[in-house]
Amino acid sequence: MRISAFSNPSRKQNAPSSAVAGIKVSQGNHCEQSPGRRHAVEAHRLMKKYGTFTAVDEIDFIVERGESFGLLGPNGAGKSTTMRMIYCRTPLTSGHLLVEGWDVRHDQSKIKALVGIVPQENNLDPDLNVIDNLNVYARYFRIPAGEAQDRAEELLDFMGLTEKRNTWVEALSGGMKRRLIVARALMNNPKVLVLDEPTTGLDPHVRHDLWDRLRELRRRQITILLSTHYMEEAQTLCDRLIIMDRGKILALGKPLDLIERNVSRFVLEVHEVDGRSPLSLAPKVIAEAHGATHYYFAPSPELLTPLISKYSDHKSLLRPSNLEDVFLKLTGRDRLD
Amino acid sequence: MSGSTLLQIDFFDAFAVWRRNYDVNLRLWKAEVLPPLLEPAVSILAFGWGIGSLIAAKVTGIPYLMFVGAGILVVTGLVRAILECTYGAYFRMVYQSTYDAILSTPIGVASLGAGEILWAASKAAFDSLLIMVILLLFDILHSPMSVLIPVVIMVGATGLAAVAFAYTASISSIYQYNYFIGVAFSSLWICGAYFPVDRLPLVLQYLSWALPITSVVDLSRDLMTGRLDSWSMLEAAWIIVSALLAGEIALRRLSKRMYQ
Ligand SMILES: Nc1ncnc2c1ncn2[C@@H]1O[C@H](COP(=O)(O)OP(=O)(O)OP(=O)(O)O)[C@@H](O)[C@H]1O
Ligand SMILES: [Mg+2]
Repeated sequence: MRISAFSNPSRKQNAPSSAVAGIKVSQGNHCEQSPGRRHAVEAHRLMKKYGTFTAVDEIDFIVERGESFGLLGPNGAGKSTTMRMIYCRTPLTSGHLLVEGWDVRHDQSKIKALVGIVPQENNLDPDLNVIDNLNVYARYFRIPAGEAQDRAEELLDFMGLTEKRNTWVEALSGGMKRRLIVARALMNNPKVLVLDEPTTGLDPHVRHDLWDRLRELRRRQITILLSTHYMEEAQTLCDRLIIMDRGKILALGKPLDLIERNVSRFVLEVHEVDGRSPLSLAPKVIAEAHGATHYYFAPSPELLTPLISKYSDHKSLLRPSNLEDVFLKLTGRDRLD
Repeated sequence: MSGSTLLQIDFFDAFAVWRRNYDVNLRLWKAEVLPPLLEPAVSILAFGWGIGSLIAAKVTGIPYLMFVGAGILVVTGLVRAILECTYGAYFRMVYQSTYDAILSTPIGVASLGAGEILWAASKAAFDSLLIMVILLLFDILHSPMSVLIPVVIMVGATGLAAVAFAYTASISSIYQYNYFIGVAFSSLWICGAYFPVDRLPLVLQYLSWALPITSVVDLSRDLMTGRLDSWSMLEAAWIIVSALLAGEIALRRLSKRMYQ
């Protein structure tokens, strides 16, 4: 399991001479921009339209090298579209986008050689078995056959798929397919790994398993871009993340900072309160009603405990607030109504 | 987009795509190679012995078995190319997302399309080689120039495969193939494979000669009998030019489809 020992793919990269000049990207507190320094990803006023519909609406962000960066947002927020522009599968409508200093408009094959991709939809080759999926994929990167074979065996081991080496892809479970796609994404020894909902539909064991592998890759300084609908996943894996909605970035920052900034530390949930309006309270307590649930946010639990007795005939839960609260607050809890 | 998309082909990359299909077919060769050749083999028997026995006169100066043998040889290859770049390509493009995966690697769309089209053409050439073995058994491959026939079929099949591929890249449902298959298979009946083009009404004769496949049939037959002339050169040029043209259109359609 020594992926770091892999030699470089045969499509060798020379450093690009310079990043796009004159771009000033200002983002949250975490991100200093020193001129000339290259980032893993730099997006400036990045926009994507499908016909007249704007899927990604002039967003700015920077992903540092070696960082794990999350993309969160409701269905249709524009996460996949943003990622597809990063790995050059979808052309941008306007704006600038650099990956490892290369321009997605002009240096596509260079970028694609550096990036590993786990797409949202499985696109393994059903006409090939597990090991051939990796070997044939390696050919697209011009990795010599012997080297590809060694790497494929190592990656199957790394992803726990060695037993399935000669199985047809169709005969794999959903979780195994997902793991094989991650293995495939690592075949070209990428500097940047783009994972579009890698754990959707996986059972908790497989999910935690995959998290461990991703942490391992993170230790090896691979830049990771990850989209997910699991807030817990984002919280444990991502150094920083953005929350998107309707093509725009609503918030950017470290998971804990985002929680501090957007909601108070503690929350009391009260369920099944149909028709009642939230109680008026101490100034530091913020109440929100969404559907049949009331939420009371406060900086300390003591401010919330008196409320529990007022709702004695309802189910209630006092807990630390989390990323999900931020997500729901920013993207609107009642958007499904 | 300006400039030729053909110039964006990287043949090393196209070969990687070709190899993918080759590998898959190598695994499936029992199903992929022999059964599709049964029908053309039987049709040579049917035309040669059956219909041929009713035709006493020579056709364009050669026995009917020889005339139709050349036709079946070419049509077999062309049908293969059509099927590969219609249903085969559509499955890979839409249902299997194979193209999506390939385009996520450094391989560009022009090389992907070229790999697919050239694969279809290679399969056509390969099939024609096997049919030629059958024709050899019937002793109707007279000229040593016959060894060039697979080359002609490969280039001709490239053009037809490119047309099919352009159509594939443009449709949104597999049922739309009914139109294409209807037109393509009809044209195979008027391309001089089974009877000489000059038996057609004049309008259809013009139409027939406008179709490059008519030239593929005619040129292949001339190679078989060793009767090349300046008209053959013209046919060769038309086959090549039309293949390049169709290839350009196919790659543009694919690019439009894959990069939205
Ligand atoms: N090829 C396309 N043509 C037209 N519209 C598209 C296309 N792809 C995406 N869209 C639209 O762009 C918007 C953003 O889609 P995108 O797939 O980026 O969302 P997402 O954040 O990944 O959502 P999800 O969580 O459901 O995966 C959606 O409204 C979607 O309908
Ligand atoms: Mg998505």
